[in-house]
Amino acid sequence: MSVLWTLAKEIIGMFLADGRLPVWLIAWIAIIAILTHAVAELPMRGALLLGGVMAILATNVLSSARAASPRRPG
Amino acid sequence: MTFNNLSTATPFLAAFLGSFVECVEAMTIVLAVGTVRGWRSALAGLGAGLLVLALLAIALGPAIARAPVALIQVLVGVLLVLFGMAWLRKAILRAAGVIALHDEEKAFAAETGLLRGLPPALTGLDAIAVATSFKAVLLEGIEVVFIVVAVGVRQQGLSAAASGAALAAAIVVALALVLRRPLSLVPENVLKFGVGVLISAFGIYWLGEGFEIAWPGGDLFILAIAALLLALGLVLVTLAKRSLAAAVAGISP
Repeated sequence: MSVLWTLAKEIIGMFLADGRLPVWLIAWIAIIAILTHAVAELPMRGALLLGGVMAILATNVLSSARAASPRRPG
Repeated sequence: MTFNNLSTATPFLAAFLGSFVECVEAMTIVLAVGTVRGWRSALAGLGAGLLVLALLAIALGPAIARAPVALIQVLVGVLLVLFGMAWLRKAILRAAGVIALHDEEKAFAAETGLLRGLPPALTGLDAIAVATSFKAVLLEGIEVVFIVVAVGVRQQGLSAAASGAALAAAIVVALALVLRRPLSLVPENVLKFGVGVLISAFGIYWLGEGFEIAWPGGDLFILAIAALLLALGLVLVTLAKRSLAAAVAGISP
């Protein structure tokens, strides 16, 4: 049973290991999906999808770097 | 092996690089098990793990082939973006020094230390050794199966991706048999960086296809997405390094 549990945790961890990153990515993809259905000829959908994913990665990496930086004592 | 076009070359490369990293990690554990508890049990665990993975791949491949294309493109696209971005994020933070690099020598030492502390097998196969080896192969191998199935989602791409993974596994096993020590010289973070870029590019491309986005240049646009992600990744390494250096300078007397 513990092997199955470890296996399940590992599979989930493959996709959801990095805190808020997967949440933002899924939210952005959902927004693009909704816009695609709502607006028939939405221009620049590809650029929106790609740009949004890149912006989410950049924000997440930079905030992780700031959070990991050593704090000033006191 | 020859590649007719981009739709077979890129799945091969992505699967080869991704599988290489995972095989190195699995092989480190199998080597530790073999060194401390005996090779017969380590190889039995390895064989059992490979058998389960083969069954998983056989079950997954046809199931995906039967599902509606648009649904698969969106589903696989989402999973590839999540998986690829997680690898890319970690590789960027490791390259910038924000988190520690994965060290195969350390992993090997930790695993051998742990295994030496456990009671020896009384007869026959060593259950602890078989289970440890089996678990390592299965856990790392699931990621290989996912990469192969996801990047090779088109019929033509599946055999290319499977060939890439098989070649990576063969090279890692051959090197492990010759060296009998962990493959610590493999530039694991560079490989993870590259795989993160490629897999994320595939994911964004599939998602776009699923949303009926007409990418300029068709399949070739995967390379354009990969180039943009690579450029962003390299810029982020520099920015994260600066952020870290500024913080360290700020607390220095």
